[in-house]
Amino acid sequence: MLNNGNKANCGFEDIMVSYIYDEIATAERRKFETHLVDCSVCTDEFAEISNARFSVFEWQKEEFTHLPTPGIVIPYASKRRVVEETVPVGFMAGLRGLLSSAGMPAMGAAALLVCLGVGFAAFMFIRRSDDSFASNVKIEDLKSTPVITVDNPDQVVAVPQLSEIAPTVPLKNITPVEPASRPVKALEQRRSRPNRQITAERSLVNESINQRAPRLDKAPVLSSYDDNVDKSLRLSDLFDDGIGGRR
Amino acid sequence: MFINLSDEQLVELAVSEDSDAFGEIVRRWERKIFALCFGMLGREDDARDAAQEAFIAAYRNIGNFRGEAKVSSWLHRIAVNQCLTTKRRQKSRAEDFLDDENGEQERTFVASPHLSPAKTTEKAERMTLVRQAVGALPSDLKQVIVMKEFEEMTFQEISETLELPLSTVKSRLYTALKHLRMKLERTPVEVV
Repeated sequence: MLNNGNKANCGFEDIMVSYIYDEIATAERRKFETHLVDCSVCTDEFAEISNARFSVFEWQKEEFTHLPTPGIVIPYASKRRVVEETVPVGFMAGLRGLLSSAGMPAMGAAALLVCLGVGFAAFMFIRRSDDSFASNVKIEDLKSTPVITVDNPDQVVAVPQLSEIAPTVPLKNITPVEPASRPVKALEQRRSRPNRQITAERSLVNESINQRAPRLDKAPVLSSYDDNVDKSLRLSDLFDDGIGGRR
Repeated sequence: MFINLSDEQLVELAVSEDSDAFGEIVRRWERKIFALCFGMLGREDDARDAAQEAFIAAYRNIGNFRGEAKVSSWLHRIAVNQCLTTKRRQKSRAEDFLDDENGEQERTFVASPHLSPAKTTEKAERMTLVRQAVGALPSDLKQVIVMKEFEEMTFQEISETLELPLSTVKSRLYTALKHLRMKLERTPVEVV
């Protein structure tokens, strides 16, 4: 025996408890077991502590383990009522509470919805702006704008560009005639540049255009043009920007 | 929905009037708090009432939870205080089970079918003895041994819950077992 029967403290109390409850490292376990072999005092102490522990363990197993968990009832309603009476909740406070309780996913979803809404509103605004710009130059407006035709092919006539025509700005020094369709009129105006000589071919074109019934209500259809008669008419001419396109 | 949330996160939600979050806290801890109360008080009905009162007190005071301690520590403190209040109330009404030396009060005991009547009686008497011995322990020692045996917590968990060093927890448990040993040795169980 290491301590000669003396109930002196060997300093293994903490290790003894850890050993009893099997919460001990392997090295410490071996150390304690080695000590037990050589120390009868600690061995007796260990036996008594183990017996006491087992009694409590047995008591817990016999009288507690089979007991059902009691159903805990919390009076939530009364507390909520008190809170509602004392703390007025506005829309923003309620929204904040909703977002804070729902957590990050709800906030992310809300932010995404806001971004989509703003983007959609911007898109609609831009589209409406384009439509209003396009609608500013309407056929009805063009009707009021006089179309210039050239009777004398040698005569150089200055005709204002379509882009220069504003719906409310009247054209000056222009002989009003029957309104033509928009693309025809545009074609006419694009072709007629200041100081530009109009050829005989153009005059024929003009005559044929003038003889056609004006399309007042709807946009011209490409298929209605007879390519054999009016070879110079091209789709690209309708969108001639003055850079090139005439052949 | 709340399974992945920590106890502290659930308390935050409960503070903002989310009763479902507190319900999850109750679900997680009701068995352990009931075990603690049973170990402290020794009787099922007292333990049930004490656990109920402890959770109600926790819900009412949840706004005062600062988050400085763990939720387990906070609940244990409330439960132990509730058990001590219950014991004081019982003492004032002279209904303390420590006075019931003969075990005349109703006990919950399930006899094993394979034991003889003599053995069953012996076992019942031993259980009564153990119950009384644990009840007689000082509060700090009793709490540690109840948390270890009834709540089945590890030393580390007890250390964190009670905010005590690990060595202190082991030392208290050793001292509690020594007290129990002395008490059980002094009162031998008569074998019929």
